[in-house]
Amino acid sequence: MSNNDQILDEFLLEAGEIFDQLDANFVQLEKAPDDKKLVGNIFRAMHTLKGGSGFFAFTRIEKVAHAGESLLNQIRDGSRTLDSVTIDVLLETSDRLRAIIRDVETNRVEPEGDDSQLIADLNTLIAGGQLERRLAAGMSLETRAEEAEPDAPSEPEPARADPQPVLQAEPIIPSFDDEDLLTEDDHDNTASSSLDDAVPAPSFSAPSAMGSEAPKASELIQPVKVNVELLDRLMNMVSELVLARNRLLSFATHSGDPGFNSTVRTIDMVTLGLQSSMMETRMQPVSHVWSKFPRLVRDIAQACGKKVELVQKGAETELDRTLLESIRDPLIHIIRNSVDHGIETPEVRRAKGKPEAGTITLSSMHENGMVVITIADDGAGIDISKVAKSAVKKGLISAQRIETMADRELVDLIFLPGFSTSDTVTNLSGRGVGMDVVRTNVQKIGGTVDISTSDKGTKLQIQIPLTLAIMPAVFVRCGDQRFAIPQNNLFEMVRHDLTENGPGLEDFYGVPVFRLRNKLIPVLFLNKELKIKGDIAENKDSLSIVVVQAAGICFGMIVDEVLFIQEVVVKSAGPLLKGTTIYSGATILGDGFVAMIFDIAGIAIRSGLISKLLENDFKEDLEETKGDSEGGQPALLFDLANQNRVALPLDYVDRLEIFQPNRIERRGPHDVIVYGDKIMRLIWLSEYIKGDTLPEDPRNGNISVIVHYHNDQPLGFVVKQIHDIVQIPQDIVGSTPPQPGVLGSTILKGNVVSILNIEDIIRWGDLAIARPSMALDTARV
Amino acid sequence: MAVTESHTYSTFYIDKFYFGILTTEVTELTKGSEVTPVPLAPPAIYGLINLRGQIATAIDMRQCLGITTSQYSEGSITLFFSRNASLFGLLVDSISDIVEVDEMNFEQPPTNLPEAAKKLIHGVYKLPDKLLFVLDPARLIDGIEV
Repeated sequence: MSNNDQILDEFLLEAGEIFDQLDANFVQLEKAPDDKKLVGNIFRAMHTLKGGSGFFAFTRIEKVAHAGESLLNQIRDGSRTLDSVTIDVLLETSDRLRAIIRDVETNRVEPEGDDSQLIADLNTLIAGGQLERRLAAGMSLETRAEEAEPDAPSEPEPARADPQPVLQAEPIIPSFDDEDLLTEDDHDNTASSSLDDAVPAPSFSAPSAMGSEAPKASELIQPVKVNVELLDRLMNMVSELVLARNRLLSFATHSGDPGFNSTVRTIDMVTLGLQSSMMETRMQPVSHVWSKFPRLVRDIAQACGKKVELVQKGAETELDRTLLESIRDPLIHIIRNSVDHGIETPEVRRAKGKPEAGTITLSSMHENGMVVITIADDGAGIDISKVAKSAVKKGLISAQRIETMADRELVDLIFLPGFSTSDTVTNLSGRGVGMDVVRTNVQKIGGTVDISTSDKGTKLQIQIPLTLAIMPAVFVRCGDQRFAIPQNNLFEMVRHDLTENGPGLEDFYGVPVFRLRNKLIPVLFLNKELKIKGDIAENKDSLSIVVVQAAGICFGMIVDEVLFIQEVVVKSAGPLLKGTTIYSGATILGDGFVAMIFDIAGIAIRSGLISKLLENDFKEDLEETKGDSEGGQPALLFDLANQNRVALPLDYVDRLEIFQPNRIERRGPHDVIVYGDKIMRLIWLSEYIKGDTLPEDPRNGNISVIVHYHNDQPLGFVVKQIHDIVQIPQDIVGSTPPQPGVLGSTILKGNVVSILNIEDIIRWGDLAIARPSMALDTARV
Repeated sequence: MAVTESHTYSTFYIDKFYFGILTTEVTELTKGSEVTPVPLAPPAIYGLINLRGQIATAIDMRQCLGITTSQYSEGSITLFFSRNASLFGLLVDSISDIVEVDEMNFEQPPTNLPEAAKKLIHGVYKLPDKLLFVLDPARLIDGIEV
C-alpha cells in the first residue's frame, strides 16, 4: 500500500503547488479579467485537481472542482464575463478545495462535509442566474486570508530521495485524467458539455496541455525536492569537515612532504567549494513568502472596502530558509496594518488628490551583508498624537514622559506590547498584539525594524542577517575563556586609557560608566557578570571595552582582551542551557574547542542594567550631564610638538591620517604628500603656533595628519598626537596679547586648551612664499 | 522456573561508587575530552564538549550525586548518549566492564538513599562482589533544572 501512499503524497504535493498558483492567478485575473490565458491556467489547475481526486475517489473534491471548472469554462470561452461575485465564488471554491486537501494531508482520507451550497451557487452562476452576494462573503474573506498564511510552511511531505515513485506516478495520474475526461460527459450539465464541444481541442487536450503546464506551476520551486532534515544533516557534516580540514592544514604546515601537501590543498579547495554550495542550498528567494501576499492584500482590501495595489521589487533576493520562515508573520502583520490602517478609503484618497487605489510597495535587497526588506505604503501615515494619546490611555507610558519625547520616539511607541490605536477590536486588527510581536520576532533573528511616517505614507524597514547559521563574531577573552559576541550587536571597541588625565570609570547612580566622546556609557565587568574567577585588573592602565547595543540600550563590557573576528557556525548549546539566557548558542573554534556565543540582550537584562537605567531615567540624565557643554561645539583635541592640548573645531577636520615620513616630498618651499589622486600640502602646525622651543626634528617616525579640504584641495596639518573629540564651550577667553593662529583658550576638565584659528593659518600658508616662520614674522611686524 | 530477563550494562566508577547504564543507550566513550565551562549554567552542567562537530552537554555527575569529596582528574572519561536528538556526556572517573545482569537480582533503591541520588538511581543490582547502581539517563536529564 505504500505505493498508493506515495502516489497520494505526489498528488498532495502537486495540489499544494496548484493552490499557490491559483491564488496568484485569481488576483491577476481580477486586474485583467479578459486574460484568457489566465482563465485557461486556472481551468487546467482545477481540472488536474479533479482528475487526481477521481483516482483517489475523493468525491467532494471532484464535485466541487467539477462545478468550478464548468464555470471557468464559460468564462474561458467568453460566454460569461468575470465580475467580483464570480471571483468571490471561484475563490471560495479554491479555498474549499484547499481546506479539503489539507485535511487529506493529515488524515489521508477525505473529510466529511457538505458542499451543496457552494455547488448550488456555482450552478446558479453557470445557468446564468444572479447570485445574491451572501453576507457571509465579507467574513469568509477574512478567514480565508487567515487560512492562506499557515499553509505555506506546511512544505508538503518531504519528497523521497528515491526517484522511482515519481516515475511511477506520472503514467498513472494522467491516465486517470483521461478516464475522468470521459466520465465528465456523463454527468455534465448541458451548458458545460456543449461548451466542451465548442472549445477547440488544442487548449484542452488534457495530458499534453497539463504536461506543459505542470512545470509552469512549479516555477518557484526547484525541480528536485529534498528533505530539509537531510539538508541540515549535510550542513552539519560540512561544518565538521571544515573543522577537520582546519586541523589537517595545521599538519600540512609542519610536513615537508609535497605529495601530502598538495593533497591537503586539494581537500582544502573542495571543502571550501562544498561549504559555499551547501550554504546556497539554505538560501531561498523571498518570493517564496511573498507569493502569498497579493491574495492577502486583495482579501483584506476587499474586506475594508479599499483599493490596494501591491508592488513587489526584488522578489528574487535570497536569504536563509529558516529566516524566511520567521519573517513571514511579521510581514503579514505589517501588510495587514498598511491596508487596514494606512491606506485610506477611495473617497478619502480622492479628496486628498491621491490616486484611488493605494499602493503598497514591497521591496527587498542585499545591503552590507544584510537583507533589507521595505514595506512602504502611500497611505495616511501614522497619526503621532493619536499614538501618544493611546499609549497614555492604555497606561503604557506616563503623560509627562510623552511631552519630552521626539516624534521619532513617539512613533516607536507602536512597538510597545499591548499597544493599539483601534478602540474596537475587529478581526483585522486592534488586538494590540501586532507590532511588538513584529519587532520581537525580527529581533529574535538578529534583525531590526525601523519605521518612518508622514502624511504621504508609512515606511517600515526590516533588516535581517543573510543567514543565522554562519555569522561574523568578535571573540573576547575573559579569564581563560573565549566568548563570541555577534557582530551585529557590536557598536565599537575601545581601549579606555586609565592613566590619561581623564577620569577613568565613573560612578553614575551605582552603575559604573565611562565617557565615550560626549556620551556616558554604562559598563559592566564581564568577569563579575559571569562569576569567572580572576580579575580584570582594575588597576591596569587601560581597559578593553566592547561597546554593544541590544534591547535598545548601548553598554560597554569590560573584557580581558579582544582577540579576533571570525565567521562562526552557530550551533545550539543544547536543551539544558535554554534557561541560561545570556547565550544564544555555541560554536566550535578552529582548534576544536567550544566557545559560547553571547546573547547581548540577555546579558543586559540579567545584569540588571536595563532595569537600573529605566529606574533612573538614564537617558534624560545623560542629556543633563551633557548640559554643561551644551551650546559648545565638538572639536578635535591633539598635541603639537611644542604645545600640548590644542583643539581644532571638528568642522575643519575631514579625515585623520598617519603617514610614514618617507612619503613626504619637497616641492619648492612646501612639503607635500601624494594623497589619493591629489597632492596634499603639509602644514607643520607647530611652526605656526608660538609655543615652547621646538624639540628635535619631528620628522622621525610616523606623522599624524589632520586632513582639511580647503577649496577642494586637501591640506594636511601635521600634529604630534591626536587624542579625542571633545566639546568645547562657547565662552572662549581671547588670549592677551592676541596670539597669531590662536582663537583663544578655554578650560576643559581642569586644563587649559588652546583653540586654533585655522582660517588664519590657511591664509598665511597660502600667502607664505618663504618659510612659514617668515610669514609669522611679518605678521608680527 | 521464572523467566528472567537479562540486560547488559556499561559500568563505570564515579568516586568509589559503581554505576551502570544500559549499553544500548551509550553511543560512545572518549577519554580526556576538552570541556568548555559555561559560566552561569545550572550547576549540574560541567560544560560543553565538541564531539566531532556536534556539541554535547557534559553533565557533572559529582554535582548530580552530591559527591564533594573528590574532583575529576585529567583522565576523566566521557560517556556519550543522546536523547531527543541532543547529545549528552556523563563525566566519570573510570570505565569498567560491560556486565550482564539478571533481573532476579534487581532491587529498588533503599529508602534511606540521599535525596539527590534517589532521583537518579533507578535501582540496584546485587552482583556477587558489589552493588551496581542503575542510572536512568532520561531521568538524569529531566531532573536537571533549566
